[in-house]
Amino acid sequence: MHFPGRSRWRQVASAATLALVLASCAVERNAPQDTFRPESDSARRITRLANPVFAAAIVVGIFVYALLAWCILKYRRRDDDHIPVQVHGNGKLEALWGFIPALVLVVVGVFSVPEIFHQSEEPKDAYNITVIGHQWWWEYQYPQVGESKMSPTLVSIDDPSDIDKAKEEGRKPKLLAKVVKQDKPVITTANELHIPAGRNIRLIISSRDVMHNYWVPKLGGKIYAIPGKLNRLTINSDANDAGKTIYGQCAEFCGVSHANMRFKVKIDSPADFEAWLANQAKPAVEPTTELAKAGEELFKGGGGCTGCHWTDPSRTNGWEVVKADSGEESLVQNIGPNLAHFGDREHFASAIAESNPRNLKAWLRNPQEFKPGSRMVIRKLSEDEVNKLVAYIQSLK
Amino acid sequence: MAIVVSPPTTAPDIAGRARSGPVDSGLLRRPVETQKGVWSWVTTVDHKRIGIMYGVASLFFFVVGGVEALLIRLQLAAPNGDVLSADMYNQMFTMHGTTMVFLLVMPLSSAFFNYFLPLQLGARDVAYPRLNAFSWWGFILGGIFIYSSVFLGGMPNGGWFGYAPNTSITYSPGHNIDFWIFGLQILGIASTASAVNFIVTVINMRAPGMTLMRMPVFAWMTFVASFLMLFAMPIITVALVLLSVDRTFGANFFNAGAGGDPVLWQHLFWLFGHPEVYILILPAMGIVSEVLPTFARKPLFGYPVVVFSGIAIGFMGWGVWAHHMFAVGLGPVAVSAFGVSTMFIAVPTGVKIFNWTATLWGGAIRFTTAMLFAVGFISTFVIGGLSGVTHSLVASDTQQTDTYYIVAHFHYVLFGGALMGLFAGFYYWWPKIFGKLLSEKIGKVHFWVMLIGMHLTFFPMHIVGLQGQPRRMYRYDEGMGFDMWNLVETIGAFIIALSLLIFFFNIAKTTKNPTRAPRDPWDARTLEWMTDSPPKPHNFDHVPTVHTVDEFWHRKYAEDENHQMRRVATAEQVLAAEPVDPSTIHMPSPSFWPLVAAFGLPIIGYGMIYRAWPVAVLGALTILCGLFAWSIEPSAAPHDDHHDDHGAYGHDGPETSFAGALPAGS
Repeated sequence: MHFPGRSRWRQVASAATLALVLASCAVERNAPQDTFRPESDSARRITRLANPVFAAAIVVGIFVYALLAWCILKYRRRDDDHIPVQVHGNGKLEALWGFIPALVLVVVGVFSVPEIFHQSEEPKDAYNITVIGHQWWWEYQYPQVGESKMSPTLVSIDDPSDIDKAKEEGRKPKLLAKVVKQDKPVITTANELHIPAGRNIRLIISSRDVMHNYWVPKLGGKIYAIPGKLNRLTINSDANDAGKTIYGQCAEFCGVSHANMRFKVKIDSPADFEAWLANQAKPAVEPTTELAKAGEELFKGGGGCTGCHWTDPSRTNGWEVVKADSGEESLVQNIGPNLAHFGDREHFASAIAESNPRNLKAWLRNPQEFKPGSRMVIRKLSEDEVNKLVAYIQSLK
Repeated sequence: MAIVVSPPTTAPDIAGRARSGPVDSGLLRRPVETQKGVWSWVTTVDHKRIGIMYGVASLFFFVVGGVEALLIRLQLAAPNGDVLSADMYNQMFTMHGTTMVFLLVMPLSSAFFNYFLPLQLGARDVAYPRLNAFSWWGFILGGIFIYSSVFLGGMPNGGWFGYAPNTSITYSPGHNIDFWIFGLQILGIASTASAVNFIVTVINMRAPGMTLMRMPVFAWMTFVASFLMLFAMPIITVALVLLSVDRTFGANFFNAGAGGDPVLWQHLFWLFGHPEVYILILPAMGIVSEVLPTFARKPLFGYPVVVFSGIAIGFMGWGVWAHHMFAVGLGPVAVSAFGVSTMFIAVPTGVKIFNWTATLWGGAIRFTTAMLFAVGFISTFVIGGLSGVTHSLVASDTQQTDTYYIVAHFHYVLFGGALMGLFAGFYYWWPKIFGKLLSEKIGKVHFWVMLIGMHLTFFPMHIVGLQGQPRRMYRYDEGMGFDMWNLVETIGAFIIALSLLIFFFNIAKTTKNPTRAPRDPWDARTLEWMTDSPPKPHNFDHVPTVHTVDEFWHRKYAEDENHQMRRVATAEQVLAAEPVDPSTIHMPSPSFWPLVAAFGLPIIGYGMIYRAWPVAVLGALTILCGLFAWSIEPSAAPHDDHHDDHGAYGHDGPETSFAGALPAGS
């Protein structure tokens, strides 16, 4: 029988310590989604709650490891006749190690539960933004300039692919999804969230298709975007952080391109934010260059882009009943991101790419190669057409 | 209990006795006990053979799920990996999770339940041997069924949790999800049947004198896990029925637009899914509770407390499911309640850890490979348990949920925990199953390589998770700070793969090695060691009467006049002291019908998936046919049924060990 000597255990222990020290040095200090480096009160509150518990867990862990190590090192079998004292248990001791952890957990519980209620309260001054998850991008709806509250509701909509068939068969069309309906007109954008620095933001979150999960690690915890449900999450930012760009992404598996469902949060100074929002509220400027004008023609005509994309910021995504000049109502689906002021955005395709001509051209040539599974349907375009479209959408400011 | 052993057909007097037709004619003639080769395995109802088949199949699926894991890790080794396409990656992580949960840890636990529960209880088989065979066939056919999707349009790709509405027909129009749904239904039927079997076995089949509080802890944990299975499987069954009705017939259970509720899926899934976690870990806890006392030469510290902690975990496991849903928006009251219940399930778990440590305290520890794995289990499980407590803080869990921090947590619990425990079981019980000791030298290398690989793979996931890497991402960008740790994780994964190769090498080498293991190689404590290795088909020539926990140990050791424990008998002497029982043991005869009945399950599955209703009906008829034939077939073949011929044939048969030494079994 082989009994390893104590020196070997010392070697193992020192190697493990060394590895731990090296590992802690190697922790990446520049991770843009690092929850250890929160950048707002909403996120710092969470870190403040979690850090002591992490520390306590490490202490408990070290205690148990020390106990184990003691037993391993001290109580080795000397020979085959070595039979230790047969202890069957000790009620008091066992009650103690049931009771002490329970007590520790009561303390943890007492500190953690109030934070749950704090998170769920809406701060009085909060500025409302509606966030809607789509496969695989985010839609944002802002209140009109000068307002800060919105109270969306959810309404069921008919399945557009079933409407004609249902009419023929003389029945009601199938219901497809619940979409967010706003009580007042809103300003719609996509993917880049702009927030005023230093202010509490109440995000009202839902989804148009599957479950998503909205997460800006440095600004706070995450919350699911669920079809048929309006969730709420409060985040904020530091007043002196204006100009910063914060990373976020969808955290719940939502299909093929889940990994590509990212976004950026732009923290603006309150004045910049007002100016930005005022500009977003306006219709996009008319294109000036010949190329862009040709692009607009293609966009609204033969390109077929308006089947899914609006360039009017007051249009929300989803489905809308549009009244034609003849008076006939028809349901129009505009399931792509609203492209009004697209030229103002630094990123596109749910913030996986910088908005520059090279990337935009690559996207238009084959969106699915750029973002697997992308719902964008586009016919094969000539290079000339691609150039025109890129010029047009970049001119939308 | 009418347990019978069918006599060896090679016994000369059997040929002349073939008075009943089924022996020699007909397509589905009744198989006989001592047939050799594949056929005897196909028709077996012996819990030991079924246990071995479970073990082999789950190791096969371990390799499959492991290859999937390696592909996942290769894809994530560097930013923007292109080893797999986005959809292939989604298939891989879905099948990795599904395989490791349903096709590795559950059946591997079941392998040990099957083989050792009757032996530890002093029983000759499980309560329902043919139902046991049915469970096995249901499991293996279910596994093959799910994986047949590889050739039929692609593997499931909605995650092992299959959240609706992503898994609805609108967003997953292919058959991938259907294979997952019906595959899990088949596996669920198999598991439910086993659960019933093990529960009845524990209640009814214990050796004389073995009260519940004298049962080995492994048997106790099997009992608790079986109850969890019995109650959890129907919940996932309901969820899957609702989802398949949505998908196949256009119902709207999870369609928010039409008034359904996708959150309902999450409640149902996790109401199954959380007890499932304990189904996975309790058997390993049971194994560790057997291994530690054996190699510390001390009784388990606080046996009743360990048992009741296991039961408490079993109960509390039902009250924590919503901690998988803290970010779903259930409201502050609900999440507070589930946060607190999650904290307190740590108490019985912690008690177990301390009781195990106290078992080591003051012991005379021998570090065999099994013991290394058992201590490895405790040390990694502690980390998994502590990170689990950090999830119970709802507010901070909103930063952790859906990140790699969670992946780290449950791999510490299920790889470092459940699998380490099961490997302890392999090394501990291998000589019992095959009569040969796995090489201790290679085993120790296996342990250390696996331990290092495990920590290298899963520890960095804590860090990258809290630094913002979400789960289930087929790629990540440069500059996110994930690069280095993901590379380390990939290296770790390959080290784990290497350790598995070492294990397989050990098996191969042991198989070739002619040296037989001693009867009691570990100086063990429980009844399974009070018989041959491998045991005879009927397990025990004479079922021992039990007077205490660790019965076998107490027959070998006794206190001398100075209250000092001394060895009073060797294992051989203990066995020789057992009374000789002159009557015959009758064991149940092999049967085709469990296989026939189980075979109907995947047929229904294919019929449902391809909407070929006649095929589904055919599958249902196959099951009915199998069950009907099974129910009219006597448990022992008529020609084997001669209770009054006490051992008469045995004297002339080749297996003379049966002769004269067999107790009354009927």
